[in-house]
Amino acid sequence: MCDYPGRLIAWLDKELPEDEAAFIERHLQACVECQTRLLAYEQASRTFDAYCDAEIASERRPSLPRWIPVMSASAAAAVAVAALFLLFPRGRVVWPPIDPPTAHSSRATDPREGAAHPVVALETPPSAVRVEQVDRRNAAAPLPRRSAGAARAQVQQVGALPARPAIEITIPSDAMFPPGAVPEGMSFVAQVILGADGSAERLRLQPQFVTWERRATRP
Amino acid sequence: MSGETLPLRLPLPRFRTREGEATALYRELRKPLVRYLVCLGLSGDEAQDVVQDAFVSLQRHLAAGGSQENIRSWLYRVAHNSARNRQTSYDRRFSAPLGEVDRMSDEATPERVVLEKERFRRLGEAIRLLSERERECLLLRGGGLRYREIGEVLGIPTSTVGDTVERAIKKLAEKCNV
Repeated sequence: MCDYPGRLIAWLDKELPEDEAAFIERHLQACVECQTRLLAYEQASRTFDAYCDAEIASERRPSLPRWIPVMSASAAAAVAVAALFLLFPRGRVVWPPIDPPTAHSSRATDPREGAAHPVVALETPPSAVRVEQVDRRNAAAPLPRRSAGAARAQVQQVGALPARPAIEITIPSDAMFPPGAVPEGMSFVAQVILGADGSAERLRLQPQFVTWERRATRP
Repeated sequence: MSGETLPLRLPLPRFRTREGEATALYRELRKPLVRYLVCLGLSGDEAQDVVQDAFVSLQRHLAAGGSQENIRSWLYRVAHNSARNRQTSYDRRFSAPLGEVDRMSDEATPERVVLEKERFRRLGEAIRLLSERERECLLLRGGGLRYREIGEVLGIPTSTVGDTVERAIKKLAEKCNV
């Protein structure tokens, strides 16, 4: 039975005088029993520190009421949608061409604008966010620098203002909320009402159940 | 005018020269102090309050011409005594924060998480079996204090600190079979 394990911890903590530390080091090279003990002490010491770190982490992460993450996610979603339109301010919004009807490929072709600007260009993959550009009736040709009055007049000529939102963005609930926070099948639709000059005038975020649930209620 | 103000003003130039050092001390020691106090049983807010108070006391101590030796153990001692005065209980701590194991490593496999949780659980039991003094010594040691400093904080001889640390680590190692 080795008599040195008591000094091993002090050696580990560099609390021994040099000569004694050198003696322990020489002993450690020869004594497998002390090597094993040293490993066990080191590991116990490290685990104790990790345990304390976990205590601190759990103290910093108090359990939140269930509604707090939901509210945070709602706020984040609202900010995200608002940021989408802030990125494309009024001056840069142009009337979209008729074709092609895909949101990602729509680009203005006005040479006076310099480089083409995307009308709707979401970085989010299509599986996460579906973008539908509904109102394309006024997009026969790029109409830059129109006055609001002229635009309104043309809208009235071709069939009055749209009664429904110009752009609908359907956002699956799992893209915004933690799992289980929202009933299954619930999605959210961001409805953006476009003004006469193409700028976003109003934004409405409303929940909506997916179609298969509605079908299930039919007779 | 002179009789009352002179004793207050005299130490100030000395303190001002140490102001940068006090700021550096705050940056260096605030987190370890909070960690120590939280593990002693204080809530995060309580620990922050105690640490703030300790640094205010340090400023007064230095401004009053107090010793600038062993400031680290001085701060720990003030914080430790303040925490003790709040009569906190160890029962509030070391309650096996197993939920944190899941968050500790992104690369952890489910098997490793299970093993780590089991080790944490046993360690939590072992820690609760330690005496208060043993826990305090281990916590201060984990904060990087030398045995001499730990002795200054707790008011015990350095040799006693060595014996206490040794005993505590051996207990943990045996109990956890690590």
